[in-house]
Amino acid sequence: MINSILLVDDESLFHLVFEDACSLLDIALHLESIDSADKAEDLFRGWVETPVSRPDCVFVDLNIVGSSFDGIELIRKINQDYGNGVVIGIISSSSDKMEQQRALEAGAQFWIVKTDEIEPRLEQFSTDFLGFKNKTMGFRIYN
Amino acid sequence: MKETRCLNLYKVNVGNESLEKELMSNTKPVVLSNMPSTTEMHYIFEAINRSSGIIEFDAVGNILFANQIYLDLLGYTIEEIKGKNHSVFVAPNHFPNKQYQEFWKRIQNGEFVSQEIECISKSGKKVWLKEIYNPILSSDGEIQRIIAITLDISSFKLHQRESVQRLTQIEDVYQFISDAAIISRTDAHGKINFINDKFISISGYSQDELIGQDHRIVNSGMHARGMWQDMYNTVLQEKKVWNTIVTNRAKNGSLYYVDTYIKADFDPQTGKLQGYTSIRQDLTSLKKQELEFRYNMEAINKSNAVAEFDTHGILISANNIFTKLFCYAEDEIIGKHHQIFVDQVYALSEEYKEFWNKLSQGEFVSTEFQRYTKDGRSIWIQATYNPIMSETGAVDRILKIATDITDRIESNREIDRKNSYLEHAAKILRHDMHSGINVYIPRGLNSLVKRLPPAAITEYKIDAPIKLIREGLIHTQKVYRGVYEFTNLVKPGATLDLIDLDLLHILNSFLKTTSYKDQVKLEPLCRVRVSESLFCTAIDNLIRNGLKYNDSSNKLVNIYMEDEKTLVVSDNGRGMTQQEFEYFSKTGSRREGQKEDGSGLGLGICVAILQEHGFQISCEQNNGSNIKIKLK
Repeated sequence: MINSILLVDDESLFHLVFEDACSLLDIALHLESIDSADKAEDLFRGWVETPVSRPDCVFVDLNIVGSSFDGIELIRKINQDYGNGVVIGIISSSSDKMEQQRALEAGAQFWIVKTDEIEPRLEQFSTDFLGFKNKTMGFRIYN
Repeated sequence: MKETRCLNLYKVNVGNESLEKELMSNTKPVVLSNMPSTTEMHYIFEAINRSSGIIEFDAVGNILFANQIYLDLLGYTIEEIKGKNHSVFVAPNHFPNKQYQEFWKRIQNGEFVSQEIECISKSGKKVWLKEIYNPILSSDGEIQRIIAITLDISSFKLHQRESVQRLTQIEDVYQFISDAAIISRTDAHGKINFINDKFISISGYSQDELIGQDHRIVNSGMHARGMWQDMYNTVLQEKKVWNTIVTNRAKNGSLYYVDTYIKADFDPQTGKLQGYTSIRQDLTSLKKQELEFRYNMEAINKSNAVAEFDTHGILISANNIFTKLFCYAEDEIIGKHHQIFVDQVYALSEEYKEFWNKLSQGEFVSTEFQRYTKDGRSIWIQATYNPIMSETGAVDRILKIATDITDRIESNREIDRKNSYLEHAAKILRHDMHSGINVYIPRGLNSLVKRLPPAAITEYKIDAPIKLIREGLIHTQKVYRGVYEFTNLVKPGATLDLIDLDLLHILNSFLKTTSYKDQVKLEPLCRVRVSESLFCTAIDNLIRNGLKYNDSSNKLVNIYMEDEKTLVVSDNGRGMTQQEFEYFSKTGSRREGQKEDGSGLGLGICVAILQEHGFQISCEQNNGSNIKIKLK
């Protein structure tokens, strides 16, 4: 079961949008936010050090300004080094096919295109993923 | 054995021209009343025989006899020519057509014939003979034989031919000089008595206006009296040809320049002065080029820093502007290398060495250079380095012409710096403000409205503030879109994203949230390709100006189509002429005494936006202003 979601996005206002959308959709989950490159760097360390607080699902922005890695690299690292069945994917205003292919290869399970109307995509995502917590869904793109 | 014949001679002296003429005019043999004695005849014959060639022919021209002088003239022996016809001596083509037959017919008719004949000797040499043919008649009047007394006139003929050739050459040279040069002659008092066509052409006077006039008619008054004194001294005292470049004045007052040669003409017998001859070459075109070049150089010298360097970069000369620009005294830099004006690291570089190599090889260099003054201050110059060639084609020196552009460069740097701020601001606006205006605020507003049931909105009376926020947001988004399009134009090579739109619709939409919408009358408009936000911003600017600079109690703006391609924004304000419109379209310009605020930026930007669309914009004053936009 997915009980908690971590959103890694350097655009702090989007965290509010995400929270608002979840609220409108009645997605009652524990939301964690990482809105800076420093905190994203810390994510790696914390992932190992405090395994109990690991979220069940991670949304990663494609570009994390100021970070030494992009969202896809972060996914690859989490999956390869620290993965344990976490549902992880990209949330980005980009819908670049090459990047989506990279994300798939890095182990991402979904790609949500960030637009003004995020609710329909989140709603579909929750239908697909929430309550299942598995990695067999294949790579889903929510345009 | 020498053959001696008794000839039926007449008293003919071929050396006596008058007698010869007389004899030639009488076509019949002369019968002398006092015949000489046989002894006298013998002496006469011997005298002729010793001095002239004699040849004797039969009546048809076959040779019977020739004396030794004749034989020597043509290089034959008597045996070789006896019995042959006279024609064997005659050069081919000497007698054209049938003249040779006619010549002999006259002799056979008993005429004395004197003829110059070009003969060919045995060795092939041309020999000119003057032959006097004397027909000898028998007592019954029949021609017995013909005796020709012959003189060798080859040298005379040669001399005559050479004289004719020389004369022809002299005539050719004279014609050539007359065609090529300006010639005049005067009498001893300076009155013109001859001028050629070129003199007439260059002076602009007619022949009648010149002949008899004092030669000073073409005097320009540009020369000092001493110059003409020198001329008279040279031609009269020293009797030499005087030469200099003279400035003359044509009939129409224009000046012409001639390289002039003057000589005095003296009577060869008495030595008395007869007049003056002058020959001139027209240098006007060259002189004008030279003057133009000199004036240009003077102008350049007055307004530019000018210096000359040798091919190694050593300064030869510099004008005041140059020394002042670099803050040196002239004697501080003459003889110094150009490197004192450049950065010392650059002075030691290969690039700098190559710069002088190029110049010394004749390459022209022109660009902006950073240079340094005596006190180490950096200055910028726009300079051209012009290699000057010597007559041999080698580079002789380098002429540098420079203008101080330090202010312009610094001003450009300032503009670049300010532009970088603008670009940065544009970047912030395009990225950071975008999400706030177009994403988060609308999202927050929509989310809020979704959560508030209509009853709650009514109960808390928040419908008006929500509407205000919503309308304000729409307006802000439009303005943002306009500014966004502007920031697009900052990018190099940017073009507007044009869409075919209904102007009435987009202007209505733009104006509906404005406070002045009721003061704007929109008539049916056309469709045209525009960038909606920029075009509306520009038209909105014109509307605001029309309402702002307006003293009418009922301020109005009317937008209509004058024709299918001309959109008019008309107001009832103070009005502007085209000239004023152009002036106020310049950034920062304001009307004198204008009471309203304003930087003067608006109209300039408005015009720029419309011009970016490719539209032409003009203005006419008509109880206000009619701004006319010629659509593409």
